[in-house]
Amino acid sequence: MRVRINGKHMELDGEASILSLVELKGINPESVVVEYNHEIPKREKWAEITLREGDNIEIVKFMGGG
Amino acid sequence: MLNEEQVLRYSRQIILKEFGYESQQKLLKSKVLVVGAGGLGSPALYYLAAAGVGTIGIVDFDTVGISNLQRQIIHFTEDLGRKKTDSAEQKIKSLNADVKVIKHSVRLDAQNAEELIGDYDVVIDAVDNFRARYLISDLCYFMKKPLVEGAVLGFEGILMTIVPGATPCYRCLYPEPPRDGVVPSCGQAGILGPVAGVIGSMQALEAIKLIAGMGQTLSGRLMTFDGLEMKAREIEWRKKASCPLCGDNPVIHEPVEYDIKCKF
Repeated sequence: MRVRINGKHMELDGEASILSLVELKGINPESVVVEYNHEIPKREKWAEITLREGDNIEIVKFMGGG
Repeated sequence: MLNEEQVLRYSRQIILKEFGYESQQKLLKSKVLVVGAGGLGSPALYYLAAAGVGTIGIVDFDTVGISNLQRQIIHFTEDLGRKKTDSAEQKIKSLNADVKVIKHSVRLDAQNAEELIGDYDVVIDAVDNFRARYLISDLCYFMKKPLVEGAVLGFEGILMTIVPGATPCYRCLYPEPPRDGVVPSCGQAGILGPVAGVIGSMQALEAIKLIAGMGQTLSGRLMTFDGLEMKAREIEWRKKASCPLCGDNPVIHEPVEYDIKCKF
């Protein structure tokens, strides 16, 4: 299954949720927000949303420095 | 009316057909508040001053330290130990005497924020912590002040322009701040100076566009910049119906001042 993550295509084997994808990428889920097909789902829903072919995911880091 | 010297000083931007004489007059009458005279604030202040923004307010309670100088280019070695507001004012004045500088050498908090922001047309968020970011974003929303949000960390930066009522807000993207200890600060994770330079310069550009009413501001979308890969990306970012601040059933009715600690 191919999905698009931060503009790059990624091939996923088997089923994945937003949460498992973020974890797969080695990212602390609490350090990012995720935009899923141009919507920003609540963090509590990440484990329930199963990714599908062609989904578009943007992982945006919390950034506070200046 | 611009005087002869001003016409010459600003000639390179006045000849831009999208900008022109009228926008220059608007800039000279405008008031911009820059919160934080650090890595983002330094380039933003320089460009706003050089462009002839009539009044620039600077909020910073801090003094210049030696580890600031690698990126906070408005401060020089001889300024070590000085208040950042004094140091920045001196550079701005010597760059452009047209600019009136108002110094606010205080830490922005829930008590003073409203009064600090009240007088200004545009606010530039150039702070280094989430406590102040959420406070500024909430307050600008309630006070209907356009806000140019910028943040950096490591080699990366983000930028967005928020016009209350017209565009998504900061909380449409980040509804709540990260938990204590999850996100590092620049002091902990590091920052390369020019990365802050890029984002801070773009914040000045967005502020100038807002005042002049030209072009497309970075609204309803978010720019992310990766200096290591040298890639800038744009992410569509919509107004969120469930946003706690600007959504259909808002739960935040006054600015929130969080107590958030960075990663140790």
